[in-house]
Amino acid sequence: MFSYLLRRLVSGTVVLGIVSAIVFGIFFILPADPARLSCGKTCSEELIVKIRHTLELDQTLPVQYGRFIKGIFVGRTYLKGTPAELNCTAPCLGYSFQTDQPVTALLKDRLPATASIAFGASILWLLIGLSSGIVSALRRGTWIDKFSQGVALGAASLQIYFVGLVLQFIFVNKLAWLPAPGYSSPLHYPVDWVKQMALPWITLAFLLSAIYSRLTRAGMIEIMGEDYVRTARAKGLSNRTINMKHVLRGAITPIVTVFGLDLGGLLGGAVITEYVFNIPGLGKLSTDAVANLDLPVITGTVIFSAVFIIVANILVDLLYAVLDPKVRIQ
Amino acid sequence: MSQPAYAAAQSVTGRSPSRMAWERIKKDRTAKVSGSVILIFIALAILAPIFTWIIHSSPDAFHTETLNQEFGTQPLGKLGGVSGAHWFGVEPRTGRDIFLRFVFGARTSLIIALSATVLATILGVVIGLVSGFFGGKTDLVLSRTMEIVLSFPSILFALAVMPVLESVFQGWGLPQGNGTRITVMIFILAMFGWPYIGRIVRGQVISLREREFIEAARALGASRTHLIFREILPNLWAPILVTVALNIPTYITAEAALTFLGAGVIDPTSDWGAMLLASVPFYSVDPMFTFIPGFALFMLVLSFSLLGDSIRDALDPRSSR
Amino acid sequence: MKLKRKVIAVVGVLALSTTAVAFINPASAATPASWIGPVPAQAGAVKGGTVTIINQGDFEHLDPARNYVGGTLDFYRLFVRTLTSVRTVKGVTELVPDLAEDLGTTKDGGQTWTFKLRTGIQYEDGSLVTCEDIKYGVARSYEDGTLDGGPTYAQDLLVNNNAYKGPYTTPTKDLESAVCSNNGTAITFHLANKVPYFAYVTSYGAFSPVPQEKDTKQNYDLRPVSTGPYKIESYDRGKQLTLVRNKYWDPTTDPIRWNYPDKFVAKFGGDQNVIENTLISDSGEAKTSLSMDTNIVTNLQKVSKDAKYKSRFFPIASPYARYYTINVDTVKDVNVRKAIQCAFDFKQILIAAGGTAVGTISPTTIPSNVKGAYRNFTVCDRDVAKHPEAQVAAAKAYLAKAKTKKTNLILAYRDKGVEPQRAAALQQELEAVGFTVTMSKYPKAGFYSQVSKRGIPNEPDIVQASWAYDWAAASGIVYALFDGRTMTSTDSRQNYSRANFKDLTALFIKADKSPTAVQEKILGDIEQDLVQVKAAHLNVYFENSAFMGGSKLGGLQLDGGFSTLSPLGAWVKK
Repeated sequence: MFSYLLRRLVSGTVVLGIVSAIVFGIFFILPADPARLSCGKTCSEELIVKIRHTLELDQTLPVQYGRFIKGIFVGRTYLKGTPAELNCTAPCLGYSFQTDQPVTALLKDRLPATASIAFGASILWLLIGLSSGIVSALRRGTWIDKFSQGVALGAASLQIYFVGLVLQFIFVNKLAWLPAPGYSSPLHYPVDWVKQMALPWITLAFLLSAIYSRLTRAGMIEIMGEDYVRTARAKGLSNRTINMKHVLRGAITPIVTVFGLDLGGLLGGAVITEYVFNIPGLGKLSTDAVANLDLPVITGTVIFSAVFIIVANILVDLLYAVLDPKVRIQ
Repeated sequence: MSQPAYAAAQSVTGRSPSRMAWERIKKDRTAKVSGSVILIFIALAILAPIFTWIIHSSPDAFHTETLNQEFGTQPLGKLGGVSGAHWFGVEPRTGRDIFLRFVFGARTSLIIALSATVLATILGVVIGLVSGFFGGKTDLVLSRTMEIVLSFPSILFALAVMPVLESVFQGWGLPQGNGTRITVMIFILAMFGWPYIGRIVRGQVISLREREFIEAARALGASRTHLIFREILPNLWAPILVTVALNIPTYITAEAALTFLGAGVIDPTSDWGAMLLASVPFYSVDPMFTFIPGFALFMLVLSFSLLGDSIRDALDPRSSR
Repeated sequence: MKLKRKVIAVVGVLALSTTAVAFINPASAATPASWIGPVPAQAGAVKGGTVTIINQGDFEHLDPARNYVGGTLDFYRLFVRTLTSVRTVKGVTELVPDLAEDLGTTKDGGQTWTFKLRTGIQYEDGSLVTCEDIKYGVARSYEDGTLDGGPTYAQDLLVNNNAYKGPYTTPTKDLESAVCSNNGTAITFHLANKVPYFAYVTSYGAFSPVPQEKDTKQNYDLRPVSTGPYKIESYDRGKQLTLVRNKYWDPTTDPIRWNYPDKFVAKFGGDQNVIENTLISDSGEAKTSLSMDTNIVTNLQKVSKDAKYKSRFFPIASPYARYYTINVDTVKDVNVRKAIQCAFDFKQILIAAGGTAVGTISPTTIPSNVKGAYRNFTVCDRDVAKHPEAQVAAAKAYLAKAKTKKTNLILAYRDKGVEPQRAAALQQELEAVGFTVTMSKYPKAGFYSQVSKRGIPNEPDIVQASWAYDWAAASGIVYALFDGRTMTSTDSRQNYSRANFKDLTALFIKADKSPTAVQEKILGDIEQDLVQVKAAHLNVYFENSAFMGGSKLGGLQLDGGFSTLSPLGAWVKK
């Protein structure tokens, strides 16, 4: 188990290294010169040269990448030995062209909003998805099953950027039951936090629970047909025990897999959700950075979300091994 | 399940597996309805120019006279300016005909999604075949590549890489504007889509590779190309078809999402994602403008999903239900 | 009918509120009352309370040397004092001395300027502001590699004989062109050329004191030392800025600033629609809030038509000129350029931007309140305000007349606000007269530095540009936007049309040497010639801004200097 974990971690790190190199490489062949971008309203060739030097853009690409990676682990110093020396402590992802803030600080600052969306919505969609899936599986063929699977199918075909606007129109503009979505700190303003997060949670949960409902239903129906379940039933165990202990346990594995990947993806930035609901999380940070061609922030957010995706992958694999005795780790 | 030997045996009864699948689909009501919806959308997209002739306008033509002159954000009349001349109303600020933008938007959305599907399928099938058949180092490199591609935050990365690729493509001599942007979008969607097909094909190839009929062909001295394309590929069409059918809606929504986030086609070309994006400032004052592209997208995606399910069920009757 | 009258009334208010800043008369003898503090009290104002500013984005920079954006330039005066400044009292906007006692005196026609300084002005820690600190502030603005973002007036205008590059880069050198004299009670600037409008230049942030021992370089942006009535209590960049009283500020030394509320809190990160709805709802904190960067757009109809919003609705003609340049490098034939001009439908572009209520049509980038230089000339042989529609026949005629035909045009615009809609409108209009237009969309950041690249493939033929003047005079507009002498072979600077005609260069040289009034007239002539004869650019409209504040705020006013809703005189009603 331990050596498996170690191997997964090593391969994850290698993948991350390659991802970061690709991101770094691609963004630095951009048509727009980063020095020009941070040059402001009055810009001259002389000033561009100065900025290029400040940002160390006058170095070769491998040198820049090397310093970038070094910055993540041990920090780096810009303009070393000059009076304008600037110390960026590890983990250093550089400074935003737009706001001059350290990218690491920006990521830290935006993570709570994204985490709020991800965790709130995921609890909700698990609840809705699992319960409707279980009911459907147990009442297979009845109108409840048909209705909930119909809704699930419809929901799976809907888009956040459509449903989000429609729900905002209904609940914020017409009925005025909710304030416009946004982010307030749950520590200081718990009520506002819930009210402002309600629409993103509901929208995401509605769309995503569909997949979980279908997965749960399909998984349970398959397991119900397995020999060991029939045996348990023959042994006279109560329906409840069978359904919960054997059937759900057996059907949960694929759900855990999908859930891990969904959550990992969301934590790295709920790009569309944050864009639609205007929530200042990692996704909004990155779309804004793209609009402003703020390269250090783009690089930082892409790498940061890749970390979440890779970690989620590793965790899912481990959980898979724990949950499903049929999977043996070599 | 469908090895040539059996297939030959079955042909005695006169019904090949594909024929059986087709007959199952023909009996499936869901498949018929969803298939018709898709055909209607495709027909609208193909026939779009006819509507410019019927309506005597073009999707890009401004009709500022249909707007409140003082506040150009408000179309005159009910439901966002629905009238005999403008069946779905007009766009705020420009007065462009929403129906025409809707049918021309179907064109853009479908062209991008379907081309990306084709490209991703070809890439995925070829790489999956090579990876699964050759195994060893080739497989290691290719499956690691798939893993890396799948580790990218795809939407975010696609957003960021659009301008980069656009300039690279322009450097290769493609003209500025939507032609290049559409090409870049197809390319990006395919770039992030192929590993999904690649993985499935690779898995199937690995399980087929050691089967007797392949061994037999190998023993008879068949070349690798012959083995891959004549022996293995014909056995893969069912899983490939199912994956493709279920993936099309993903490409449609990804295309709309990217355009919605501002990275896709640009004005004046009509596109559903672009229409949704343009409607954002107005959803509270002119909800009709948001509703039309949003609902169309929903219908198209739902129809493709249902059809995909039906195809899967028809090809493998034991699955699900 | 009713609709129309209301609009005219609104425009009337605008015209009053942006009365031209009075031009400087260096020889005036007596000190005007408006130069001496304190500033006249606001009627009925009381002290206390908190004023909240809800903005979409953070202020670009707080470091005075790095500021160049209207709203921030207005706001940062709560804690930044400059040599001179623009004040608005009871609707009258004028340039007044701030740290200085006068608007500068010159004995050589504007090449050497001396400002007498007020005495006894203190920083937030009680220490005295010295002349050397002001000089250090100017010196810092040379460090535009490290301290980017601000205007480069000091570098552009001052003499520089010793290759001075700023206190960080050349710490052993001295900024020789700024000299403190008379025991530090006066500062003298030596300019490379005669600059009659120099007192406007000194209203920018580079001409404010920075104590050298407190200079934290890039980080000074996060915590500048206050000389104004408020100081920074806390600043969470991108989220919130809190200002509290600075007890060392003396109102009798200050003719510009009020200090009614105990606190100013600026919150950032709201969305356009959210802020609009918050301000309209006027509930809770919104009662004492205003937004400095949010124009009422989506709800403009509702707010401008309903009398109940009238007292807290602030429409103003902003200095934002929405203009289009035609590239004379790539569109060589003047008849093709004239055809492009004739194709413009001014009204359609305005409707695409939000309707006739959001702007005032004008063919020139010089606003009508700039008296010496403004003129309403015809474009394509008609008064564009009266006949805004496209002149299709004339456009086709020009195109037919052209010797070197060019019908494929690249239109460059940025992805910001309504700019794509305006560009789409123009595309339609150009195609209606026979052009084929390729749309070239740029990200909003870096747009201008991209379109100013010369001699590259796919260089744009038409640039959809916006510009707000640095001061309301032709010298603040025409030099900055249309002076072909600033170009290099690879960079057009801000002269996106690449116009560099010999006859106009001669006029520019003549203008350089002329006294203010004559200079203004010549610059007005240059712009008219560029639009009417050379067809190198075309202005379409000046934007109207519409700001809103909460019902419990008094003293809100439109600042004529920066055309923004100013919180400077705000007070909280009990």
